[in-house]
Amino acid sequence: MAHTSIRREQPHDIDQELVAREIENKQAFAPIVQRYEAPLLRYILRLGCKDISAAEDLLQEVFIKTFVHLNDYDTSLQFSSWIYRIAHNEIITYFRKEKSRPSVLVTPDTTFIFENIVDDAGLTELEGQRYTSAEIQAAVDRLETKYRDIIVLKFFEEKSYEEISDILQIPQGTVATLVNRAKKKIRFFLEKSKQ
Amino acid sequence: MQKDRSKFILDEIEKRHVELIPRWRFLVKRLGFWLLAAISVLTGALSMATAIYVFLDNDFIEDHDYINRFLIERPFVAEVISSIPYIWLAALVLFTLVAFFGFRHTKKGYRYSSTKVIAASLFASLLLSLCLNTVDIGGYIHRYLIENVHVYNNLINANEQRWTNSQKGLLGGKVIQVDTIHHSLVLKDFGKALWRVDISKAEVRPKTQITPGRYLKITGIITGKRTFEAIAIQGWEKKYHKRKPLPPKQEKGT
Repeated sequence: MAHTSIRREQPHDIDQELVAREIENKQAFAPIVQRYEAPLLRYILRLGCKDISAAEDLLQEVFIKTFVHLNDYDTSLQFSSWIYRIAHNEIITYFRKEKSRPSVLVTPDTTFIFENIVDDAGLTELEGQRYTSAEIQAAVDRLETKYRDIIVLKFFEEKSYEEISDILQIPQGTVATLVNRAKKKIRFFLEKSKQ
Repeated sequence: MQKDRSKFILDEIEKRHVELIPRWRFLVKRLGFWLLAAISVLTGALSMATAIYVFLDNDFIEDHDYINRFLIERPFVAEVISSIPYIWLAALVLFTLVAFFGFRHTKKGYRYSSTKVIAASLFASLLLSLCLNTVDIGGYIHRYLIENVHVYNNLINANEQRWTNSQKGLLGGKVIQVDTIHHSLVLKDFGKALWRVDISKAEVRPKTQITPGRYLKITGIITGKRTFEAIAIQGWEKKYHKRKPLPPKQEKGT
């Protein structure tokens, strides 16, 4: 999971340095693309874009939009939060156009993430490890988009409340509320599925 | 999944002739939202100032001597409720929402909860409205609309309407001309009609200034077409007709 967290890999000021260089030199954009292409592609897929080529197209648009808006980057924010915000908005626009409801993608490395969600929702203490990844994913997929977005950022992308707040552009208090509600809903769906 | 897209992306940027949007455009956009928020707070303050003026201008609050009479004649609560200037409160709500929208679109506006932003906007409007009313801005706006916008009269229950009732002996308006020789004045009411008012027998409340441009409340009787005989005259502003407490009645023989 360490690879999902950009911020922990390199210091924050390197991002800002890259942005500053980029504004002066177009070629300096390459390191930004190299650093963010894998996590952002994973994020796009996790938000429910099932078609890999569509996800890659989306990723390209995200980078072009990032490039175009580099002058709008607020250096008091983490660059990763800002680029995730652009990615999130692009994905939302894409799903709106497609009129399709996204579902969270399951890959082998997501199994333990689903277990983490159940852990965090306080289900393992009471029920033991009796839920399969498929059941948990079904519960996550039943969530409304706003809750699912939060769950993906919190558990899959391992973002802090502050980062989620900056990505989704909502207050931190609202992030906390949405995370708690999402967990309650997952718990409810899982318990209901066992009845 | 791990292929390097950077060259492809840079080629795409070249191919599409994509350029960075200049910083000033973002600054203008951000400034636009700040301006929208600020203007909305200001217009909200104007609405609140007018609402406060209209509400406090009603005589039921000012004239404490008549409260008992109001209580007998009609329920006081109903009187107060009917005097709330809902149209201005609605305008205040609207401007507060616009201020909220503007602030939310500023760079870090999203970090604050809706409740806090709306409460801060209302509080700022209230503070500003109190400042504006120290120079009677609310009164100026209200009077301008009463005199010039006909539909405004239908939207509000104002003191001016109470004093536009010459049949019942209540005449209010602006003094246009004063004739000291014949003890009369010309008054323009809120329907812009001119009245010649005989003030020779009128009791003039202390500190009432009868000069052109002043607004007066005149109690009296109609004596002809657009002529009125004043019995009592008071200034429109509250400060002119605050009554001094009556001296205690002396019992006979003391």
